[in-house]
Amino acid sequence: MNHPVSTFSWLDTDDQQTRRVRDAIRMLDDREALDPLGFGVVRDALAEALFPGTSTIQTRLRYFLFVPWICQAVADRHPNRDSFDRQLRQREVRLIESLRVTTEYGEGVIGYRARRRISRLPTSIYWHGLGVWGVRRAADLSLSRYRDLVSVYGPGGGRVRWEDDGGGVLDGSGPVWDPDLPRPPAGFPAGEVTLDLTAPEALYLQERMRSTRLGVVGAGDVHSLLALLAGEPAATETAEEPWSVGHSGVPQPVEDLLVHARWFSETIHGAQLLYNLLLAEAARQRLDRDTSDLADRARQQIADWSKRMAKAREELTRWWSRPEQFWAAVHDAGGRPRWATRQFLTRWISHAVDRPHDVVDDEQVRAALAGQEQGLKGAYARLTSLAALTSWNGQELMWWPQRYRWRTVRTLLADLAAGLTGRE
Amino acid sequence: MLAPDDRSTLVDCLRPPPRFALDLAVGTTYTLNLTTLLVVPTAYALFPTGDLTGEETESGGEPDTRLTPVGLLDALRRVSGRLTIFCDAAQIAPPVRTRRVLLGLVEDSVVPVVAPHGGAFHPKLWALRFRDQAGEVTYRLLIGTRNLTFDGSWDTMVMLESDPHATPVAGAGDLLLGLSRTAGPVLTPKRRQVLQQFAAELGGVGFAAPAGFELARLHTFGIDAQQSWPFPKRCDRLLVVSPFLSPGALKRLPAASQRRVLVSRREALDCTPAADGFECYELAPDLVAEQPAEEASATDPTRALVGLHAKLYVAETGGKTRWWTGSANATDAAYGHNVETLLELRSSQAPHTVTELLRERQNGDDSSKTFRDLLRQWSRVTTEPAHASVDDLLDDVRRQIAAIGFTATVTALDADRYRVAYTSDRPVDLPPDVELRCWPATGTRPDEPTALGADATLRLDTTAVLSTLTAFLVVELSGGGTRTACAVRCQLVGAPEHRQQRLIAYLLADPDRLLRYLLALLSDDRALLSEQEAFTADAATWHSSGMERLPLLERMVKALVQEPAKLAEVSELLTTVQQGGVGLPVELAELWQSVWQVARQRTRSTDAR
Repeated sequence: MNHPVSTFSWLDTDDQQTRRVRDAIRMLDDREALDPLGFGVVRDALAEALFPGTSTIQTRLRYFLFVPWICQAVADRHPNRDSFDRQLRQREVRLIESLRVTTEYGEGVIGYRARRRISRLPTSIYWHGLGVWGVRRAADLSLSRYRDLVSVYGPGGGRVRWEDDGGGVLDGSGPVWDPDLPRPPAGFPAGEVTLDLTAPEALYLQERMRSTRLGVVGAGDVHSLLALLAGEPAATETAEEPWSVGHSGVPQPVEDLLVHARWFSETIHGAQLLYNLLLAEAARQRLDRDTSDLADRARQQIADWSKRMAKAREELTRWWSRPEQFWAAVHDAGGRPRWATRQFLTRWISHAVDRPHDVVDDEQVRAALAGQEQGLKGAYARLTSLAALTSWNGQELMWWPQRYRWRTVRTLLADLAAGLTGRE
Repeated sequence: MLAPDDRSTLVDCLRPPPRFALDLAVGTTYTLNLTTLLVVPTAYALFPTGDLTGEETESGGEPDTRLTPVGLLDALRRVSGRLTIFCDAAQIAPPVRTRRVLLGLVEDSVVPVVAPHGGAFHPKLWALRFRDQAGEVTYRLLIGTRNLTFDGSWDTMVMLESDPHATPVAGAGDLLLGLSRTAGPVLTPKRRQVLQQFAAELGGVGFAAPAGFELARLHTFGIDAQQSWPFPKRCDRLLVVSPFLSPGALKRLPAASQRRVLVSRREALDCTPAADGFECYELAPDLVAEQPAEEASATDPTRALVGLHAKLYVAETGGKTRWWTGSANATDAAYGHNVETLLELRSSQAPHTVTELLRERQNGDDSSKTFRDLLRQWSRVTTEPAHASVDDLLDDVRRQIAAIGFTATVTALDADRYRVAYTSDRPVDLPPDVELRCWPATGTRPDEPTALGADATLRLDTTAVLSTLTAFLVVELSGGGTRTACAVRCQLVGAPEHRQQRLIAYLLADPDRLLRYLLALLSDDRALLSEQEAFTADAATWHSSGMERLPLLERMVKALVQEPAKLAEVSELLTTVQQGGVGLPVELAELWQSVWQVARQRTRSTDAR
C-alpha cells in the first residue's frame, strides 16, 4: 500500500448493506418448502384467469395509484441506475410513514412494522398487476427495464436505447404510464395520505379493472370475473367464495371456469387435510412428538369434508365425467403442471368423487401423497425426509380450502365501492 | 474532529485494500447476534478479491456492490476458516428463528470468553491481516465502541493501517496474546497457535496514526492483574463521553483546573448524582431521532443515528491532549474486573483540544457542522434512583452457567442421523426457585424444565440430522415472573466429516432455491433479482406457469453469447448439487443440457480457430 491512511470517525450503519445481507440470508434460509403437493400451478392459473393482475400479497386498491406516482416522481429526477433504486426506496418508506399516521392499526399498510427495513416493496408487489390492468402501457416491461429506461448513464446523461425492441413506448418516446392516470395529491408521498380512494380515482381504477379480459386462450374477447365484479363492487361484500356472488349475466366461459375452480377447490381440500394427518402421524412415529391434537382435528375435518363430498356427489360426478375438459381449461388458462402432478391430481379427484369416505385409511392414497411430495421436494419433502420433518414447526399447513385470491379481491372491490361513493 | 458527517461503516473498515485479500481476521465483541455475525463474511462477498475493488461498472465508476446468496455462501465458505470472533460467553443471543443451516457454517468462528476476574468480556477490537498475490502483507487494527450489531447508535471507530515507516504500537498484541492463553477448549489448538503468532506479529508492526495524532499505547485491562487506570491525576480540561456511568469511576477521573465536561445519556445522568461535578451534555434531540428525516438516504451522511454509545476520554494540559477511546465506559466495572481495551493517542494540535471540540459555531457560520453541534447542555431536573433490575439475579445465574463450559458430543446413528449429548463441564449451581430449560439452537423450546443429573451436571440427549446439528445450546432461566436466555457455544466433539461442504449441498437441494440461485448467478442486474423476480420465483415452481415467466432460458442464452464463463459457474453449481445426491428437475435438466451442449461446441470451434 502506498499511502496508509488511518482514520478516527463516527461509525455509521449502512442500511443498504444491511438489507442486502438480510435479503441474502433470507434466500439461504432453510425455510419451509411451500406447496408440498404441487397444485399451486393449477391454483395460480385459475386465479390469474379469473382475477388478472391480483395477488394474495396485495393489500389495498390505492396502491395501484401509489406505485405509478412514486415511479413517475423518481423518473422526473433523472436518476442514474444506482440512485434509482435508492430514490424509489426512499419514497416507498416515506409513504409508509405517511400511511402510518392516517391508518388505524396500520391495517393494509405494506411495511407497517418493518418501516425502513421493509424488504418487499409495493412496487414489486403491484408491478405485474399494473401492466395487466393497463395502468402501465407497456405490460411486459420489467421493473429493471423501466429503471434502465428512465435512468441516465454516467455523468454524460446518455440514455439507454432499445433499438431491438422497436416499439414507440420502449425507446422512451411514448409514455410508459397511462396518460389518464389521476394526479397524486399535493406533497405525495409526504403529507396526509390515506388508503381511501377519491371518487375520480375510483372511477379511473374501475375503468382499468373493467378492461381486464378472462385469461383463457380461445375464450375470445370476454371480460374477466374481476371486470364483471368491478361493475357492481358492492355486491361482493358478503360472498365467502367467488362462486357464491350470484352475479347476473356471467358469460359462459367465465361460468365454466368458475365451476372448474369450485370443484377443484372442494375435492383437493381433502388432500390438504390428509397431508396434515400424515405429517402428524409421521412426527409421532419418527420423532416421538405429541401431535395428537393436530391428528384429531385433521381426522374430524376429513370426515366433514367427506360428508360434503357425498352430498355434492351428483354435481361432482357430472363435472368429473370428462377430466380432460378440466385439464384443457387449466391449460388454456396457462397452467402447465408436470405430468406426474397431473396424474396425481387426476387420481386424487377421481377417488375423492367416488369414495371420499375411505381416503383416510387407503394405503395407496397415502403412499401417493407421500410420493407426490417426494417427487416435488426431494430432500425437503417432510413426509419422506427426516431432516425436513424435523424442521417442521408442528403447525398445520394449507389447512383452508382454496379461494383463488378471493380475500384480496374482495378487499380491492370494497375499496372501489367505498371510493365510488366517496369524496371528490 | 468527529464532526457529525465524518463517518465510516464496519463493512468499509473490514474491506481489503486494493489488490489485497483477507488472510486473517480476529474480532472481539461483548454481545453477539448470530445473524449479524454473517455480515462479516459479506464484507468479502461484496468485494470478493482485491482485483475487483478497482473495477468500474457501466453504471458510472462505482464498485459493483451486489450481494447474491451465492456470493454470500461462497464468502462464508472462504472466510469462516480465517475468521475468529471472541465474545462474552453469556452474551450470545439465541437465534430468533430456528433451522438456520447457515449457523452451522459460522459456528467454528465463534469462541466464547469468560473474563478471568469475573466481569464482562467487553472489547470491540479487530485485528486484520491482508495478503496480495505476491505474498506482501498489510495489517489493520480497528478500535471501535460498538459491538457486532446492526445498531445505528453514535459510536466511533479508529481504523489504523500498517505503515512500514511507523514505529510499533505498544501493547498492540496484548489482547490477542491474552486470549490465546485464557480462551477455553472451544478455541482449537490450530486456531490458538495462529492467534499466538498473530499477536506476536502485531507487536512488531508499525501503524500510521490518524491525521494530527501520535499513537501512544493500546491498553488491555482485565486479562492479567495489571494496572487498569490509564488516566493522569489532573489536567487543565477534561472531556468524557460515556453512555454508562457509575459514581466511583466519575470521582476517580482526572481533576481539571478549568473545565470538566461529561457527555452521556439522559437516563444515565438522571440517576448519577456524581455527574453534578461535571458540565454535562446529552445528544441534541434532532440527532437521536427515531426515524431518518425525509429524503435522507441510507448513505446520506447527515442521517440521524440513534442513541449514544461512544466512549471517549480527552485530557488537555498546556495545549497538549491525550485521547483514549475503546470499549471502557466510565463505570467501576470497566476499570475493576471487565476485560476492556482503550487506545491512547496524543496530539498537540489545536483542533484536538477540549476547548476546540466544544467551541460553538459563530452565528451565521454555515460551514460544516462540528462535534459541538451534536450536543445539548443538560441540567438536572430530577434525580432518579438507580433502578435495581428485577432481572439481576437471573442475569447473574446466566453468567455463572455460561462460564461453566459445555460440550456437545456427536455420535453417528446412521447415514444422516446423529446423537448429540450436550453436557456441562461442571455441576450447575441453580438457585431453588429458578427453572432451567435447554434446547439446541436449531430446535424448539421444551415445555418442561430440564432436569439436572444427580451430581447437578446438565445432560441433554438429542438426535439431529446434518442440518440441525449445532454447537449452540440455548439456556433459558425463569423465575419470579421473568426469564432470560442466551446461547452457549459448546465444544463440538466428533463433528461429522466434511460438514461444511455437505451443508452447502443441502442448501442447494431445494429446486425452488436452486432456481433462485441460478437466476442470481446468471443475473447481472441486482434489482431484477432482488425485487420483482425474487418474488416471482418465490411463487413459482419449476413446472408451473411461473417457469415460463422466468427468463431462465433468456438469461442462459445471453450468457452463452456474452459471458460464457458464467455458464461454467452454472455447470459447477449443478454438478455440486447432483453429487450431493439431488436430482435436477427434468425441465431444468433438459434446458441446461441443450444450452451446455451449444456452449461446449462454441468453445471447441473457438479453440479450433
